[in-house]
Amino acid sequence: MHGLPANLEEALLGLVREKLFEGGATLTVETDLFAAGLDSMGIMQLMISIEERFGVRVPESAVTRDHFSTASSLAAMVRRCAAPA
Amino acid sequence: MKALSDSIVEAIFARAAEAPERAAFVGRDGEISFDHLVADVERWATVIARLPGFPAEGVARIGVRCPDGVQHTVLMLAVMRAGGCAVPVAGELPGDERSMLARTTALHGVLSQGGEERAADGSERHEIGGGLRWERLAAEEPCFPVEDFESVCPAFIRFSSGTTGASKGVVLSHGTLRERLDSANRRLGIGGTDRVLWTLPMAHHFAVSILLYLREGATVVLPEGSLAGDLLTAACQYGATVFYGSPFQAALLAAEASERDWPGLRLAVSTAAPLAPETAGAFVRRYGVRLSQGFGIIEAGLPLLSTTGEDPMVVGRPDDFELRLEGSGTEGGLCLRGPGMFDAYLSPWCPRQEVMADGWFHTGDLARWEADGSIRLVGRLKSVINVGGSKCFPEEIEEVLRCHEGVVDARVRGEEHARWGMLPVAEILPVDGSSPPTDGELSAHCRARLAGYKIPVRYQMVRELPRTASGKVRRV
Repeated sequence: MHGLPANLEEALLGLVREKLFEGGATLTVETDLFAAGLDSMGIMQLMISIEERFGVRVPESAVTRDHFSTASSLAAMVRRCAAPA
Repeated sequence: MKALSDSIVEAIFARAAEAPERAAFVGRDGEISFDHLVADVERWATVIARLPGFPAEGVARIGVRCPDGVQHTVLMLAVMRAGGCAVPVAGELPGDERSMLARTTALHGVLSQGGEERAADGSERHEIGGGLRWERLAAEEPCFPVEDFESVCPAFIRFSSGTTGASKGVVLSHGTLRERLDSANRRLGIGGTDRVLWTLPMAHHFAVSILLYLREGATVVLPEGSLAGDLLTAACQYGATVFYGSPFQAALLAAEASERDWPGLRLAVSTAAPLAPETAGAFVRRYGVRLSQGFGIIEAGLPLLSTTGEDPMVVGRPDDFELRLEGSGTEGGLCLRGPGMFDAYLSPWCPRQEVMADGWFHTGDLARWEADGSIRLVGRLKSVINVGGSKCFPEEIEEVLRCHEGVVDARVRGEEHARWGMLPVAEILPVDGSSPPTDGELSAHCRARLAGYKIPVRYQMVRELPRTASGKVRRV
């Protein structure tokens, strides 16, 4: 069982930097990811990385603008996905 | 400017003349009539033909690096209208992959919209209006025979997903495109009353999609964004009748939270990757239309389309394509031939006649005949890794990993995944086993050199890699 890191927001921002945006040094946990260029291919990569790194399944119904707009909103979503139903 | 003659652009212009007022595009970029589209293409074709470095003789090889939308389509068509061969340069390609593409294709230049970084090293930039930039490239000596290339009347080259070994660049001529669209539309049946919801990246999907819709006089609906909510909003607002997308998008649409219906939908096609039965089931429950599984490959277009949709791995019965399985059993490598087959691989140059020396194109898919004469896909024979519809090769990822200072050698394979089809995972033979490179370092190294979906999701350090007698790393 994977545990979620204490600072999930920063960990997710790290994933975004590592997988999506070359460099991405100016991104913060509140940066609008769609404005930064997040597209459907990027969403797929993020879902794959989140599932691999944190061992949670992100359901298709969770793929909304609200959830994917910042590292911070992603973290809230990942916590919900990880919580036992 | 050259005569239109048998150009695919002429075929679109002829259709446009039948209904000039009809919308070619609606949605995000506003409503553009067919009339307006033709005028835009003509205008840009004139501009393009006069650009510095556009060759007076022969076929210009022009890259198009432009976000999805009307402008992307106009530029692609305008390059072809100007007598050039259009080469889409996908926005997600990092610098190294872009430069490689420009070199391999020996591009005369790249038309770019947006983005500050250069489309290729050493380009000479010109602002040409309309927010566009022309990056003229130093004329490199092509590594393919130019005369042979030009003799096929090339319209389009695509790199992103070849079928065998490594990405070779698939060359499609004007004649091939026309035959291919005719053939595919026998199965799709798209016409002037259709409105097709656009969901796929244009740099990867252009021929049996945008070109086909425009040629049939259909309207392309461009949504505001790529989320399921955006797609459904555009579909309802503009009365979309056709969905043509990836299994991932179909799954997102099936799970969309608003519970809205899609009343106008009459045809839904899933392409680019194997469709999971759960997705097919969820989609039909939500929208009341079965998802058809299309079998599309860049070398052949859309040779198969399952219309029954009962089993998503069954890709339909052949009509104008001939099919054969390698070997003598009911299961084997899928081979095909039919109208609109590709003209050549660019690099290394290999014309279709040589690729299909035995008369058949070997797709690299393992398939089986069903009792009713349809084809079921059962696996892959080749090393290609299909990540939710985006394809890559273990060889290209391994090559990048081997360039990392902490890596002696690497082996990459596609790991089966219920949701995504396959994911790339890497075995790494480190220089120093006691302090191997971290996952983060390896990912960052790959990110600078490869499109994101090619980055391995996991790295496993190993003490040795199994090799063949000749010393090459053995494929899994």
